[in-house]
Amino acid sequence: MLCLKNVSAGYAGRLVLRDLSLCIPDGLVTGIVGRNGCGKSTLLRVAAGQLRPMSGTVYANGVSLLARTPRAIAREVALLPQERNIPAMTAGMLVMCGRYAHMRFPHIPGKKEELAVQKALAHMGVEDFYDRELRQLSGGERQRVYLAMLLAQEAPVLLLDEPGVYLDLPAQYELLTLLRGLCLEGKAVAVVMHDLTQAVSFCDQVILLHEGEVKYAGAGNDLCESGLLSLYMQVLPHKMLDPNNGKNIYYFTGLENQSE
Amino acid sequence: MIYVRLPRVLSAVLAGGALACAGALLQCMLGNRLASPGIIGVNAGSGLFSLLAILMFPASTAMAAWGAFIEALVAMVLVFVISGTGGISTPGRVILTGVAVSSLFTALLDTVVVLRPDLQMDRLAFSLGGFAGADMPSLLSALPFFCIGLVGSLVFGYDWNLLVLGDEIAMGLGMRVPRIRFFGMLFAAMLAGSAVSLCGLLGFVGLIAPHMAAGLLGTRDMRSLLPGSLLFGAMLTVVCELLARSMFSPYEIPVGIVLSYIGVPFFLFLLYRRGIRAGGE
Repeated sequence: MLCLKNVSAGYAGRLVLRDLSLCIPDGLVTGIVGRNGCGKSTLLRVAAGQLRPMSGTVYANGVSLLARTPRAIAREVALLPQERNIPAMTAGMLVMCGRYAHMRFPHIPGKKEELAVQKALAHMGVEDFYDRELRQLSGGERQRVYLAMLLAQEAPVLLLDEPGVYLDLPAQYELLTLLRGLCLEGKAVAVVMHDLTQAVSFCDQVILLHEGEVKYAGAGNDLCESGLLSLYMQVLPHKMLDPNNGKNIYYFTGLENQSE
Repeated sequence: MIYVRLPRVLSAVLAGGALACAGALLQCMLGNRLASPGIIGVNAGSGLFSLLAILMFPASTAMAAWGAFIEALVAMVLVFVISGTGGISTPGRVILTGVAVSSLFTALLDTVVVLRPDLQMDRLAFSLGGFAGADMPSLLSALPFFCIGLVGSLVFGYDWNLLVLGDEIAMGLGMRVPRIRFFGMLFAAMLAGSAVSLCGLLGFVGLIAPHMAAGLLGTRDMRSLLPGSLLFGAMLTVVCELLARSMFSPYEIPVGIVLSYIGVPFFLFLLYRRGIRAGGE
């Protein structure tokens, strides 16, 4: 469980997060939604201990992260940022990088590290890619390898910044299934999402950010019924009944379309 | 014989290996395959101070090595401080700053030469690169810098690999990125400085040797790329030094020139082959 308490954070002269408190519970998927520039990525950076908040604290399982070393933090929280290059290395090497925080200087991987890498690759179903160059893999395959790297880090909290952004629809759903599997193993997963339909139907908890403040945290369906989405995200939710399981699904339209 | 030849060959091994390692390190850290010790102001900076050291302490060879190293470091610190303003030191900014700082040092170098025309030959020999002046004392004074730089860069091999992933990911994996970058620059400055104090501007080795090593090893894993570059840089430089001495004997042409004649075609061949491979996949 990762909690932010009264966190204000930002960059030189610009406050991005304002007195924000939230929790990312174990065993659940938390979706973070909001318009561009509302502070989603900054929130993840603070939660992962990469950006020091100006005030407030970040707790992992009740212990503050702020005083700890980068290495200790990396064993508590793993972050997959949105922007990534495609390094010239094999999948096995990339996943081994995830073991950094578990090795002592000079970081020579032993048997234990190799096993952890194999396990992480197998977990994501990409053990065959061990010797393959990342450049030769498709976007979806590469995403799985990056997730394996995150798993190799063995942190109980996983933070992902728009992991589906370059993936086609089937690969996006595969990714969500993988994330659900990780939750069932007890990990706390937080995902920044742009697709509201996916966020509402898939996440156990949805957090709505607006100008660095939490405007809503709770079930996705309730968020759609609350009217907050049109206020803060300028979209209108529409409800449909899924005849297969009797649940509501939501789709969204822009405010302009509605007025026509 | 042995007193003339041995220092030259050893200097070639050391300088070639050092420049190649520094090049591999910089290419990795800056995420740019075009990076070489020359591009971030190290060469020109070292040259200026080497010349100033010759000017001020004509008798002391040790001062030349110190001068080269200190200035390599000054150039790097300058580049990093300026490109790092605002907290973010992106590789693109580092390279731009390096080019600018490099020009400044070259201008200073030329100013010194204009004011002291008797240094003209030193300047020419320096910018062409060569081992004509190699002797045991200068080799010994460069050795400590070389050793520290080499051992350091080899020991941190796994860390350099993480830097390739980008600062944000490396930080997320638990690395103190600024600290590691500082070490990397320090080692690269030591290696480049030790080489420049021995042979002047031979920067081209630093660009192509890592590419040769990567092309033939088939990996950019720094743990094998660094030793590979070391080997290639040293071999290439020794061969070129031999040719430079013997091709037009008794005349000697500067190693830098031979290096370009041999290195460039081989480098182009590697690029060509890589193009064919990439096209075939």
